[in-house]
Amino acid sequence: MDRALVEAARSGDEEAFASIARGSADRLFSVAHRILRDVGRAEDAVQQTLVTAWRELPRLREAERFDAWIHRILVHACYVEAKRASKWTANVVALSIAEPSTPDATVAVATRDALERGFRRLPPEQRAVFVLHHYVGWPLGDIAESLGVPLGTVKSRLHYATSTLRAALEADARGVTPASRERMA
Amino acid sequence: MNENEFDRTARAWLDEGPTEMSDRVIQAALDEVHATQQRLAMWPARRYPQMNNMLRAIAAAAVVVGVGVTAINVLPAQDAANGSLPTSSPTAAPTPSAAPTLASSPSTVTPGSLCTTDGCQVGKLAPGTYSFDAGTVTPRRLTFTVPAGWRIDKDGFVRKGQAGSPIEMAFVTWTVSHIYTDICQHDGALVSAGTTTGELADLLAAQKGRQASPVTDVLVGDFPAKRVALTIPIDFDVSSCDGGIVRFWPDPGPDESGGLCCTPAGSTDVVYVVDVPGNRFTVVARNNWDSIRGDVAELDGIVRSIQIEDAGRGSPSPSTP
Repeated sequence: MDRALVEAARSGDEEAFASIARGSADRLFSVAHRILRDVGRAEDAVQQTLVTAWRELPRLREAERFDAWIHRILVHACYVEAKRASKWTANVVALSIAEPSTPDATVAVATRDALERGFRRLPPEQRAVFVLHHYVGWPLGDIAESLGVPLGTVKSRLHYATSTLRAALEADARGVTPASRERMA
Repeated sequence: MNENEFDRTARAWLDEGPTEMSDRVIQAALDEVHATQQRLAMWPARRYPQMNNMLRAIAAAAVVVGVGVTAINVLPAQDAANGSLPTSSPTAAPTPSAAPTLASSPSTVTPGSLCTTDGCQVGKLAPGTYSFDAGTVTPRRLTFTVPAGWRIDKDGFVRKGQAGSPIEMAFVTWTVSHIYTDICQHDGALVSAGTTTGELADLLAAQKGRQASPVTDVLVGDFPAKRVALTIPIDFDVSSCDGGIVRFWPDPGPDESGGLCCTPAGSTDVVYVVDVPGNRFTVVARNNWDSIRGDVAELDGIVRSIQIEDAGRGSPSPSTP
């Protein structure tokens, strides 16, 4: 992120912040979508993130840490969206993969479904670490710093997320009935 | 499926899905931004202007009375009373209180006065004795001695260890008029910090979100003080807090601007609430969960080397050159 833009936005320059927002929105949305698995909720999380970032920007001490800082806000917004989602849809939605996706020949449909089911069972804290590590590509130390949690906590969350997803894949490989899939969703 | 295969599969799966946010949503966010006021800055670039008038008056009063410097050490009160430990440090030589020139480069700062009302010098600290002048980041002139490897930032934080890392240490002083009763859900949790050292120490110990040691009486040199160690549990999820940060106290005044904030889980602040007549203030010695033991000892040494001018006593300590 352009440090000069961040510093200008921190001083109240809305145009500078608009440039930052337009330059960051796709990336933030991609991360939010991977965590929340829902386009609408991801959009809400990003919108909330941008507003919060604008409001809190004067408190960001080091402009060069903007990227880590805004991802922390984004993850927090995803937690809020996830809680809201679980309140209303926990017993309703099963395997909702309604948003458009690009089929990837390297991931078989059954594998994709198994990962989707496993991922939906994860708490948002584990989802966030898994996405930041495997999708954004951050080292665990950077994730700890960005989220403001100890490195051990990040390792633990990644471990549990990985175990859950591996278990989902292994269950899929053994053959799972449609009835049991619905219970897992 | 082995670990590499799993990682590859997971990444390929995560790569699927939408990657573009709709312009409509971005515009909606910017419309909301337009209607949203930015908060005031958290960090003490704002501390100086807010404290200027009060501290200038204090500094002026100190000059009229005749400023002395009294050597201090942070010692358990009973030990000092028994005379079992020295009450001054002959090696900590206070430096002249002339206003410093802000460093032109962030390389190395040499012993002397560190801050003006516009901010502090920035850079590595050469080993030696430094001062915070009255009216800058402390209400009374304060000196301390640092070994090699420490640095100072523009906000007056004396630090060691990579910024933001779990080994970072810091030493900072603050005047506290209000504190948050909850460091995490801090919106609307601001209360007066009272007027005595005991009131502030008790409020800190009761702050929700941190584990507190018992409040103990210590002497910071000749001055009575309360000591309390406050730790954010290592499994505390800071990202769930208001604004995604923890806040301990704002700068003086109830408007919630500035203040001490934003530490990670696992950090410990040892807070000394010092009772210098008419000028209660705090000294904060911070370490993180992974701080190196030798660095913690150095931080303790810095705190023990602190000397505070004693306007009421009128004569300098024996360590004054």
